[in-house]
Amino acid sequence: MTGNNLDINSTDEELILSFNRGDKNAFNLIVRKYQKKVYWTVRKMVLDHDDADDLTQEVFIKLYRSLGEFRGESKLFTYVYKMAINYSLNHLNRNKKILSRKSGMDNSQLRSHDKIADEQISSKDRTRLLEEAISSLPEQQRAVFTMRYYDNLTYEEISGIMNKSVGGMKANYFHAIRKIEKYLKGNIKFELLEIN
Amino acid sequence: MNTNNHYNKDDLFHSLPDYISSNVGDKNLISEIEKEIQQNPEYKREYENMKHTFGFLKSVEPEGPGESYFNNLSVRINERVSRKSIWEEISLFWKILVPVISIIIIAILLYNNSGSDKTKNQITDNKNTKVETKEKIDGAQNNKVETKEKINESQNSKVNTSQKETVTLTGDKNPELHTISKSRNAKEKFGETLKSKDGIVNFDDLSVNVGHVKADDNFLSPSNSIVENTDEIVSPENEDDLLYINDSEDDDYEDEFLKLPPEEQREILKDLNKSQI
Repeated sequence: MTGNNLDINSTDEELILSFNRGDKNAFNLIVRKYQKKVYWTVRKMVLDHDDADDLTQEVFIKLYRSLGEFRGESKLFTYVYKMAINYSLNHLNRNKKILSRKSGMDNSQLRSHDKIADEQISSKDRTRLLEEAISSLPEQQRAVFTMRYYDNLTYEEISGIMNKSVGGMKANYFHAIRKIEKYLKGNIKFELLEIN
Repeated sequence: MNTNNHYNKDDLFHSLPDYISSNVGDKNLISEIEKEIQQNPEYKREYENMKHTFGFLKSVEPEGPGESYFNNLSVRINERVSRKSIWEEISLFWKILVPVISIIIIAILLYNNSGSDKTKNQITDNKNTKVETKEKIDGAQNNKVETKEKINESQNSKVNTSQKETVTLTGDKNPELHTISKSRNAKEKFGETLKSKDGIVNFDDLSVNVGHVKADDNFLSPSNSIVENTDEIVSPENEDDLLYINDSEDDDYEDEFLKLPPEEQREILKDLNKSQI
């Protein structure tokens, strides 16, 4: 607990009120409360740790500056999460060409080999393959996939963040999974991808 | 394809991922999907493939940073916040400074431009003065030419003068010639008179004849005759005042001529004839 009897379990309203009264420690508590969720959301989107680290910090710096204007119309986490998604999408748009070039290079490297059996793929290679599959997705599909698959957001929440229809978000998620599937089919002996 | 009235083909396909990851809450939808998997081979194949994909996704464990990263994240964010606030202060400073500097630069540029305009004006002035100088030089050259022309004119005028002089001289000679021609006539008459005396020149006769000549042609009174003749040729009002002025000299020559012996006079007359003046 801090001097104002605030801790990480305090409500968002209490933390925001304290921060707006000049308690800088309240902001540190907000960071500690949401840093992992923000980092992983960004990380799933941009895939690279350094980029995710930088973007996470940017998101919280933005929050620090805009917290005085936060009126509590939505949950604080939704507000922060939306910022994280937008920052990630902006980053992806900025680095679109670089990423696609990198992805293309990696794909060509991968295709130079025969399909690898699932059981032979190491954990590291699995991660790399998945990252490549995700990076092949369009930004919007990637964002919807991340929000739905990793963060379990409802389609209503996703549509609220993306300002798109629920049906469109559903379709985006379906096509994202299909594209990942298609990418993996090209690199892994698919019959061994059985799960229990 | 067998589809329920509430769910079309797209709804069933788009709900497959949520069905596989057990995120479908609607029981009717679940039953419809299961029915479709059993009855529709295309849908079943799609389901199988998607199931494999989700199996792969679940098998991937994301490699995240350690706990130390998250322990220090808030500290680094605070550092960046304070660093950014310094930059914000600097940016505020720049927000004021940049317009001021830009205004100063613009003012300097304008001043330089005006200076360059002045320089340009000076250059143009210099050019103008150069042009003027050139014009002056040209003028001087023209003056020179004019002077030359004047010189030429003066030379011409000299020539004219000389011509005039020549004319004057000719005019001057004319009375003489006239006189000479008259004297020639007189001489002829004189000769005839001399011949009339059987070729023998008698001094008395000569004197008589001379007197005759004198009486007849005023040959022996040159002053009268010449003055009369010159009056006929040249008027004193004319520009050829020289003739008029030289009359005294002519009188002197005539006097001298008359003083000469007749032989010498004849010789002079002969020479004059030869000279064809």
